[in-house]
Amino acid sequence: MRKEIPLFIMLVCGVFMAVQFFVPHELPALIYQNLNKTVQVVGAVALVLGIVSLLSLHFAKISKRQPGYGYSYILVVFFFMMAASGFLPAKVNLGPFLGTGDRVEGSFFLNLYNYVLTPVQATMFALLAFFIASAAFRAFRARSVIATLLLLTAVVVMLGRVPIGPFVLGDWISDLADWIMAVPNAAAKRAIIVGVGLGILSLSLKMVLGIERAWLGGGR
Amino acid sequence: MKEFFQKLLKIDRRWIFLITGIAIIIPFFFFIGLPIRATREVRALYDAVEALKPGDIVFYAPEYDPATIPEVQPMAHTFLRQVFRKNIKVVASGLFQLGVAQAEQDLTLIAREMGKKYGEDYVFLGYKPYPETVILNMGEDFRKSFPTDYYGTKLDELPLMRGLKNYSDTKMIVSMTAVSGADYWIRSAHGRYNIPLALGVTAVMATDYYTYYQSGQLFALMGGLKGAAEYEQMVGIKGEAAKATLRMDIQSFAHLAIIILVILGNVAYFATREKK
Repeated sequence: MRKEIPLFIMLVCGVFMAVQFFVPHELPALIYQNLNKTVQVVGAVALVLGIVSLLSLHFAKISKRQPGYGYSYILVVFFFMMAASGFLPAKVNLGPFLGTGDRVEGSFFLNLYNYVLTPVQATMFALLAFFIASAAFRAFRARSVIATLLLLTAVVVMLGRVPIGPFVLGDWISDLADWIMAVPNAAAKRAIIVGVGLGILSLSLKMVLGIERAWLGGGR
Repeated sequence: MKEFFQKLLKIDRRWIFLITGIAIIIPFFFFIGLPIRATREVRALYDAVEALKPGDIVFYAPEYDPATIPEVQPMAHTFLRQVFRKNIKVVASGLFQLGVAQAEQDLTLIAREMGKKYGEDYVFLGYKPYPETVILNMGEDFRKSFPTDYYGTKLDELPLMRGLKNYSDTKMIVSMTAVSGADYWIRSAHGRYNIPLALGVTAVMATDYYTYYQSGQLFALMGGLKGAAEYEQMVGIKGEAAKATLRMDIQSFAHLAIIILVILGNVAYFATREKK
């Protein structure tokens, strides 16, 4: 029964979710909404598991003084600080530097967001420009026909998508860049999306029909 | 000469960083204002908003974090300015954990600038985990996922939300996103509830969504800084507020610097290549 019951639940839910999409009636809609709520509840439990797992990993790192344990301290401190900022009662005032407990301008939550998260993320992302430039210099070499095609396409799109391209070379460069995006790029993406979609469909069918059972877990 | 090219191929990457940095910094001080050509997929959003009547409601889904502010925020600001200028009302959610505070701040900023009142002209629902499920639930009733708004006020206490049940009471959904949430809106909002959907995405993401634009699942698509700059010009945003337009010069120079580096790299590669 340890396998049959989960397989039965999977069969019923899978068939129901597929069928309800085509049934314009209140009852399937009601069940569907409740199933969606269940997903959120299950997700909330998974969130707790994730938090416990993350913290236990970093607490272990700290207690064993493993390499880089200092970063674990930072993670744990900011984890609780960010969470606490969301739970603070609106009336709490932590002073002019930290801010208030509510979630409007000047609050502790927004101060953490604006003065810690924003500069950190912006810095990390801005660095990408420099690494892309370095990688492009080293990787974009016309070593073969395919590599030359890739190189030319990249140059056309890079020039065609910024104003300096058509300003210097004329509108044709933008037209060509737009064509690359709308035709070869979209065709390749469409093929991938359709392929992935068919893969999802076949895997879902296998799971609903009990052919694919890896999700049940291994072991005894 | 061959030695020079050999040295060039082994150039310390810090020189490349320096060249890139200079190419990015110079346009900060000299705004050239190169002309920006409008594309069909961006104009579609502008035209669709212009076709709305005052009092119409749009659903707005900002989902971007500080890392993608330079690209997506100009689109979001311009969109809000266009709708508020036409007295169109906005119901917004923020279904990306790292972007909720950003969404709230941007919405409040532009609403204040345009003299709009919270609860009457716009509402911010806030965040709930598991975006696809939330999107599906909102298609039945906004109250299923959000009994209260971001600030804890019951939805029925907000004048704008009275009589507003789900997406079908809005004219369109516009998502300014830098995350995979875009797929959820396509699949679960447009796919299931057939609501017209437009996306504003980063330049990297834009390549993924052309196919949805061509299939009609998206009625408009804005990609990256260029899309944002086109949109700013259509809406008539000028001066400091036209952030994307100002940044296009910087992007032009950065792209040019990279292309010159690539050309130099190839010249050096062929000049130093041993003949078979």
